[in-house]
Amino acid sequence: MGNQQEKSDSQKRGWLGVVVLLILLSCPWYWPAFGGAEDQWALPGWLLWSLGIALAIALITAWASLHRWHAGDNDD
Amino acid sequence: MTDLALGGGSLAFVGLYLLSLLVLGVWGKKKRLNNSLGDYYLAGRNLGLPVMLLTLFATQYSGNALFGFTGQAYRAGFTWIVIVHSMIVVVTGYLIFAPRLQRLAMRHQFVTPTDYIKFRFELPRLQHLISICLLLVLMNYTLAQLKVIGHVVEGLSGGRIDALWGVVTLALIMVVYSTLGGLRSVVWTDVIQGTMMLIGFAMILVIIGAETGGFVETLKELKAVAPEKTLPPTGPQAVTWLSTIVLIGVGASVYPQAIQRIYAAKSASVLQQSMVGMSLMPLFAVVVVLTLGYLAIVRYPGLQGSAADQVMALILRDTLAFGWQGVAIVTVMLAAILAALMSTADSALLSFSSIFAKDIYGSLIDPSSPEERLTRIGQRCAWLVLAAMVFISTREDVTLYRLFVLKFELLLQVAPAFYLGVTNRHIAGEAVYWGLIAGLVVAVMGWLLGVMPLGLHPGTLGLAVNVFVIGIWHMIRGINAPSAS
Repeated sequence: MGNQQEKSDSQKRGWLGVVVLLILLSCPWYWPAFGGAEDQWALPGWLLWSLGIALAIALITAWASLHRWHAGDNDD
Repeated sequence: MTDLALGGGSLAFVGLYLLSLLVLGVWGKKKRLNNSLGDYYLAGRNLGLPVMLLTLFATQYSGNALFGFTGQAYRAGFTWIVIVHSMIVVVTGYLIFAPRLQRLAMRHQFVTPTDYIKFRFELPRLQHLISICLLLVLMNYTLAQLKVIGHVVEGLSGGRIDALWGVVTLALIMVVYSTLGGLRSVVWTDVIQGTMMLIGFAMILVIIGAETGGFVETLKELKAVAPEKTLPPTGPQAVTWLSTIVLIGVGASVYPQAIQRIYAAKSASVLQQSMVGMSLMPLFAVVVVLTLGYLAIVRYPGLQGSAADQVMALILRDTLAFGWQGVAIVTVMLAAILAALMSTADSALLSFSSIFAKDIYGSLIDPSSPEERLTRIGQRCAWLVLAAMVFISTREDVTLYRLFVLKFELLLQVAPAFYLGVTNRHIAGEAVYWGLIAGLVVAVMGWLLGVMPLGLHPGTLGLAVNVFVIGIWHMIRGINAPSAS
């Protein structure tokens, strides 16, 4: 029963792992490995990439607010 | 602040706005149901969606957002875009502990953040240490807002009104409406202030459009004027990037005033929907503010240190040259700036008075005090603290960014008590206590010495030590039986 509860909790927080991965990718320390990218609207490629990741984090967080609101069970 | 001497019409608009805050204070007093701490400090735990969203927004986005963020964007260039990620991660952080905390608060009638610590860990010295950390953070927060209020008023009046008198007058208005209606008045002033700020952020887009020969052209010019500010972070800068997300994302999620708003939500669904709004907000609000900072690199090259915190004022001054439209934009922006400053300072002040009254006075000095007396003690405490902060605000000289960072260095050390306390039933109070002490020593020493080992903020390093000590304590002493929550 306890294991099932813990498994259920970790499944409900799986989105958090995705957010952590996106946070690590948000910093373009690996950008030179791509050989840079063309500027778009005079904005460097790395900046647009990082802002795209910010948008992804925001959307996942918004989704999790609505669908993964986990207040716990009868444990208090 | 750079002089922005405005005409009578603009000053009347700002005056009307300030008057509306006092009216809301009186309204809040009339709506009070009783003199209990829950009614005064949590508005009867009855905040609905629009009010909750705007009060969270107004509280989270302070004077730092308008002056500190633009200043840092000017100094650091494109790498400061990390603040967008950080402000989103604040909301991600809430989702880890807020759902259960809100339910517990409703069930056990928590008033202050420390009430949860008391309930969860049953260790008085941990509870008192966290109270002291939160009080220091709130003093720092209030002080930072007051410093900017002084600059704004001096600039607004073209130097005719001294910064001290500006701070005294606005602080007086703030403390009067806070005292009259408690959180009920504060959240409704936040509604006006949050709306004003959103209009102000939209106005920034108008300014950018009016002051540049086009966004793309300005960016091209930026690349020519300061190419180093367009480069991606590398090496230690990359570590600092991730450290900033931890520092602000985790630190800001345990703002005491924000935790009290979680307690004050009418229901879980109100809080859920507010979080959706808050998670998307940085993509608009922070991005436009940063854009203004980047525009300033081209327009006002060569500003050093704290002088860069003035770029917003410089841009507003130049906007006045656009005739009556310019005056209208600057007037709304100045009201928005005052709104940002006052909404943050009043929330910090109210939170300070609640923690002092309940967790210090009601716990250490006179535990037998009835709630009515504690409410009165909290009100008096707010007046005294504000008077002290007004005095200090005219004397200290540190950049806004440095004050901003110190606050997070401390807050970050308190975070494990909430994050781990809520999510892990086996964590022991003793472990959290020693982790907190170790983290504080590292964070404060690092801040005092002004060092960032490997590019890490002292607070982030302190958090790592903090969590490490908690882990080691449990390895040595064994895992506890599950606690009450």
